[in-house]
Amino acid sequence: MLRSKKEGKRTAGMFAALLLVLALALAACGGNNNAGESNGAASGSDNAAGGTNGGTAGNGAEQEEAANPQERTLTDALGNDVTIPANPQRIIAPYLEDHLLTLGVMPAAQWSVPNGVQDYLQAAGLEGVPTISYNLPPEEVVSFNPDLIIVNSPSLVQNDLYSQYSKIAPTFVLSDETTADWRAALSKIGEVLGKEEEAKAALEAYDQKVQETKAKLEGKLEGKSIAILWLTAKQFYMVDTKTASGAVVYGDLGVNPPNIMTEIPEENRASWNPISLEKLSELTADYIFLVNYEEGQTDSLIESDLWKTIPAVKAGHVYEMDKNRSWLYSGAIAGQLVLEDIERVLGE
Amino acid sequence: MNAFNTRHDAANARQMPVKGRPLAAILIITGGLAALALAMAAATAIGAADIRLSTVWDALFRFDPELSSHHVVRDLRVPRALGSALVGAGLAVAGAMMQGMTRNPLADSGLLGLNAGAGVMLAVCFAFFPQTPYILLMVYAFLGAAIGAGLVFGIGSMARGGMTPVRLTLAGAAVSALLTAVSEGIALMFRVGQDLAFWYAGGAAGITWPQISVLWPWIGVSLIAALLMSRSITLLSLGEEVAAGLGMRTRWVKTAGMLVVLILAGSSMSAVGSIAFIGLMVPHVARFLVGVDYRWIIPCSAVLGSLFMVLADIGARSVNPPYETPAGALISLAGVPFFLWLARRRGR
Repeated sequence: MLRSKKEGKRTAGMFAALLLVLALALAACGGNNNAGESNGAASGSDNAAGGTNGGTAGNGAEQEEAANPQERTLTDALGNDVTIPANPQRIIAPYLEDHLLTLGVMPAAQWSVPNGVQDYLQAAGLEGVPTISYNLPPEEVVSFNPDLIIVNSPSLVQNDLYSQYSKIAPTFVLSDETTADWRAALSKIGEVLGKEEEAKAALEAYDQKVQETKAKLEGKLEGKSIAILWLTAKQFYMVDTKTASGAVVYGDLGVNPPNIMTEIPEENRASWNPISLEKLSELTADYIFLVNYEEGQTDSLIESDLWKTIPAVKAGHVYEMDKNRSWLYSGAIAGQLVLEDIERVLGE
Repeated sequence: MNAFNTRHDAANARQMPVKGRPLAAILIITGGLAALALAMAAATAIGAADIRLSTVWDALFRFDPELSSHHVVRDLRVPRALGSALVGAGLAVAGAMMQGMTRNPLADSGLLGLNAGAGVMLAVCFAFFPQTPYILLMVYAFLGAAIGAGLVFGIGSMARGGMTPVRLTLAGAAVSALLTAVSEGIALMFRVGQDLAFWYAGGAAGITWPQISVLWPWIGVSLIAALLMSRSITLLSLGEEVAAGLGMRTRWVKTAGMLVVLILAGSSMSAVGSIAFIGLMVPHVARFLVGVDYRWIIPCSAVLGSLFMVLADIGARSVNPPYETPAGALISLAGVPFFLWLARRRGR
């Protein structure tokens, strides 16, 4: 009698615990969607801050914009109506700097993580531009006095961060789909900054460059396949056909992806596909472009006997791409650097 | 529920004389070893790369260094299978000894601050010495585990009245929380969270021959030590007063026992990361099958732990090929429902 009562209590307890877990999980999921509601109330009133310590920011932009000095209102990916100032001078657009530079705009601050910045963009003009943390802490954002903030993903403005940013400056959010396709991102940012013409010209210039590279490599890529591998922390990643240098090599140049990539059903592929050394042993690609973050590591995977039996490795067709190059990045500048690398390596 | 179970166990032990089921145990050990041999053979034959059985045979007995498939078998699969077996045995026996010595049915090595200690050390390595060779990382992880355990024991025995199971558990929880906070702090500051997360997920994918050669003497010797101590553990599991009354020097046994646990769990974890549940679950299964005598529980735990880990590792690479699924996650997935069922059965 006593026992069965106890038993009943325990069952009830377990049930309650389960319910609690469920409730928590639901609450966590629901909490994220509010960012969009708070509207981009901040208007162009922050503009005053712009001119004074503008420094390096957007000298080129000034002249371009002078012809079209009007405030405009655009709707961003979250449905916010964002009032874009007539002539933004101090723009913060973390991880979108490739597009800004392509459009001739110098950002007020550049994306960074504790152990680095986008190395390949430093020579392209970001050298000396102050850094801002990748996760955009509002205090840091304030300290730069921006007059326009462009964010590359709704996930960055979750938890009411949007309203905090938009109190600092008009904040325009790109959708993840737009960001994933650098051409779309470049066009969108061109639209936001009123530089549609420049964006279009840049895309044309890029396509021109693709054609040139194709012509130079005429006959050298026919029937060949190339694998792009990124090695970091004891793990190889295969760069997907739609991402970064993958989009350039497989998409723009039309090179065949390697056998071990095509074996994976398309819907199962990620941007960076983790690939075991065991699977890699079946790689039949003619060339391997390797971005090696394990340089100098004595027990690195590329020192293993197995790596050395891969046909492309045996044939000496492995090309290590410097960390400072752009193989893991997307954009017009990144893509052109990738094209240059391929041309240099395979062009002779 | 915890206290309830302990009391219940003690009551059980008092009611019936400590009696194992030697016949069942011998059956499990022999059958288990046979199954283990089969499982390891399967582990050598199954993997992301498609290799025929005859090739596997050739790789083992007529090795041709030119063939990548032979390298896959010899350099990747064999050490992986051996490593899984060693680590599974190590973790399971460590858990069995912990449960016996502390008389806490929920005890496992994670409770000693081992995981958290190793985590801090790894976070420091990833953040400040990213070039550390992997074999050294293993050593550091072990050192970290030792520091974590040292802290737990230090704090646990500082209190007046000496070390009791409850104090040890509380000290373990407190120290683990502190160390975990520290390593998460480092991970956030230096953005090595991903590296750490990978380690925490656990898996035998990266095990190589040099690691095995470091591992096996430690685990082998500690397993033998555990077997030699098994009678004392049985006595301790009846309660410290009982053991002392029978003339056992409990302090000495407990110290030696903890040292064995530290070496077993620390070296296992340094090789495969933190794999939960084997240390908790396998001894329970063993106890359920062979009774409460640790002379049988310990060898059965070793065999079952090995078998379980090897099977989990086969699962890790076959669930979603060619990707690896973290073995730790698989074990938890399979382990939790089973464990709940077992806990309820025992509670009756």
